Amino acid sequence: MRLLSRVADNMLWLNRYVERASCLVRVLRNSYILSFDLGLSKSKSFDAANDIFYSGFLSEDTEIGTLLNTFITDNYNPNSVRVLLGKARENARASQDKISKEVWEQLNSLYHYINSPAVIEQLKNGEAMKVLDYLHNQFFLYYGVLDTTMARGEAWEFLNTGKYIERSILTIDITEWYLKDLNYDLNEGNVVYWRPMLLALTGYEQYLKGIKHTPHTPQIIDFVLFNKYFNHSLIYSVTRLHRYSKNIILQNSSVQGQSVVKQVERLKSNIEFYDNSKLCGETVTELLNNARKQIWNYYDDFYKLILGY
Amino acid sequence: MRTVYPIETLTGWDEMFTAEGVRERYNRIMATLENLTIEDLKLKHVQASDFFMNNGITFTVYSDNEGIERIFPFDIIPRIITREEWQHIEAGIKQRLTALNRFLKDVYHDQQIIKDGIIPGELIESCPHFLKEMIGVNVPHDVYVHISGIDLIRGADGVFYILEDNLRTPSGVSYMLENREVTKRILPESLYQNKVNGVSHYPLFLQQIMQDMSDKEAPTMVVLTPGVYNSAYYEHTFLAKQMGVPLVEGRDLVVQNDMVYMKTTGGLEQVDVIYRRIDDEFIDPLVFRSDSMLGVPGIMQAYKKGNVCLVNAVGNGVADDKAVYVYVPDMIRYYLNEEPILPNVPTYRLENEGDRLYVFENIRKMVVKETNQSGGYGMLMGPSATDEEVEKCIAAVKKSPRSFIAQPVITLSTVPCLIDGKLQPRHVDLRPYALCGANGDIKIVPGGLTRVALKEGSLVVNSSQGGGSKDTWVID
Repeated sequence: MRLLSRVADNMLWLNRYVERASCLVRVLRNSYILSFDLGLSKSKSFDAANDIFYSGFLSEDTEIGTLLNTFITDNYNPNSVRVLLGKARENARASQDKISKEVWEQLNSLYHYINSPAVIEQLKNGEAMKVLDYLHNQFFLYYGVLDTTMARGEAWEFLNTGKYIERSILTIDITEWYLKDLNYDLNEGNVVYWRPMLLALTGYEQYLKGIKHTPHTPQIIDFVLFNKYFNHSLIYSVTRLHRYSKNIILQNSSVQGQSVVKQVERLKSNIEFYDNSKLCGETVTELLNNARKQIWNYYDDFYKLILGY
Repeated sequence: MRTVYPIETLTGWDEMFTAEGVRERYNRIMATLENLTIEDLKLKHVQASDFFMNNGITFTVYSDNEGIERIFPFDIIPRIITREEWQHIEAGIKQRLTALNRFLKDVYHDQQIIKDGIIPGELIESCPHFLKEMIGVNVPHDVYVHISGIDLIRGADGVFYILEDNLRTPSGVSYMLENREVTKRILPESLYQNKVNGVSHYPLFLQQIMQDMSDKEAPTMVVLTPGVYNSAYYEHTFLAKQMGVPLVEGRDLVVQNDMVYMKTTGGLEQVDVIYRRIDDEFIDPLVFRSDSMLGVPGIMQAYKKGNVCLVNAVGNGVADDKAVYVYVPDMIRYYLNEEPILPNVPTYRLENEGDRLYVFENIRKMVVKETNQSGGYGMLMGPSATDEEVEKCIAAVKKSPRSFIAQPVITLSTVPCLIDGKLQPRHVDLRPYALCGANGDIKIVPGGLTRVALKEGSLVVNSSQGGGSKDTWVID
């Protein structure tokens, strides 16, 4: 029996929200640590989180506890961890008969944790690391539980389609943010500069193990965009997106289906066969913008074809 | 801990204690409780609450732009029923359900029971849940009530009475099942020692009766829910998951050429059997409430043509109307030629002038109920009502006598509950869940939902009115 279209939609969004929330937590965790390491103003160290995940205004002298609550517990910030988890849970709830009991329980316990008044107090009272570490680990646990307990089938494929769409976009957005701060100059920036980004994408250790030479910036760009073995790189994410969504589309043996599959194949080829010897600020920007546009177009067409009920 | 509450607090039948001491059936659990400190019991209570919270067995209260998750209160001390008592209850429910199914077929076809003067025709005609759209409609295997939750109470005399029949979309069965799951975690040894009968096979029975309603070998079955904002949504997901069938909303279904289909990623897929948890009035906006966003346009036409089976049937409300309830013992005699095994609570029909005057004179000893309400709404508790509430009720009865019945206040039996760190008696009822299959075969898992009025002295057990629940053990 095929999945209900509404439930497929829920699955896709469930993992989009979780992926976004887990990435936000990593960005915040690094920003928080960074706020002690550097002589930056408190709010400056949260610029990446602010620009990528929040479109509100944060004043220079905002207290760190308030800043963290804005990103983590604020009900009026549409991209706070609390709101994202609430939306993920609503999607899980509406498709509860298709996810495993363990996935539901893991998500539900995260939801109750983030909604407990104690979290707000801890963030205000200097116990932010406790909250950030807990969330950080719980998101890893979520993916572990998902991987261990979910049946492989259509639901799994929608979950992963959502996850890799979100991951591709986040990798593009985060990379672009750090490049922009260097005025897109690939000769600028050392490994200390890029460390928060690599940590946010879970690739810091992996990058260090593979360093061939300096300067770091071109290598890091190459690593984040083209490394097939780094699970947050653009090529890895797009390859996975291709794999999972192709399985879904090809079960619909329509002519439009073939054309939608070709779109994601083109996107994958554009990245896979990109001549990275020509990498410079301008070409990277162009690559990122094109990739983002192609992903959104693909997503629109995929949505219309499969979920447009 | 002190396990015996003062005898003067016993106001009627207590399920655990008599004036002489503990009833035999509770001996083992009492021994367990005596070995636990109050701190142990409190810890078990927290464990139970965490179980419900972490499993999402909650309902949401919306306040100040925020949704707050709440659990339905659960009391850790079980209510125990002996095998002999259970056999009596089971036989009584089977008898009643058989008669009610025959009544529904009769009332929507020949109406012989009216012609024979057993039930007044005007009573049926005036029932808002008697649906003319169902007249002459044949339902698969003549089964109207596939799933029922019949509420029982035990009076001060120790006798079980039928309080009301729930034959439309009775809820609470997931709590019966989850309460047992919690007990397995907090009182595992006691379950084993007391030889408690299992209830976990309920979803298998349900799946079987749904399957039997279709002629197909492998019918496509679904559970139809009003959606995530419904207070019983957890139960809908639970049952769908336990049966391995999709949980659908009205917007997931579409009717084409009088067939019902669900919208899947692979296109439309025909649906054969629907366990619907949407009330009659919302199920088809083309036939009933046109503003319903929950139902499926055209589903009634598909149903009438026999292209889809709805579980429960549409129009069952006529049989669980509180004014029709009075006639159920007569139905049993009429259709089955048997005496009712389980008695009704004495009930006054207020459109009868004599009954009405008697009730007005004795209203402080009565419970007055609206015939079309459930969940503890539309009810006046005579002994505790204010003068203003009584006056308002009398005025409403005078305006529309058919819409009310009255019953003498029956002191529901009590069971000890852990409240404020000590055992205190609280009133309970019992809702066993019965399933009726293709050949009229009725299955009831040994147990049910024991609902508790957690407020001291209260006789209102409904969850919407501050009630909680307990695990119900049927022991051999």
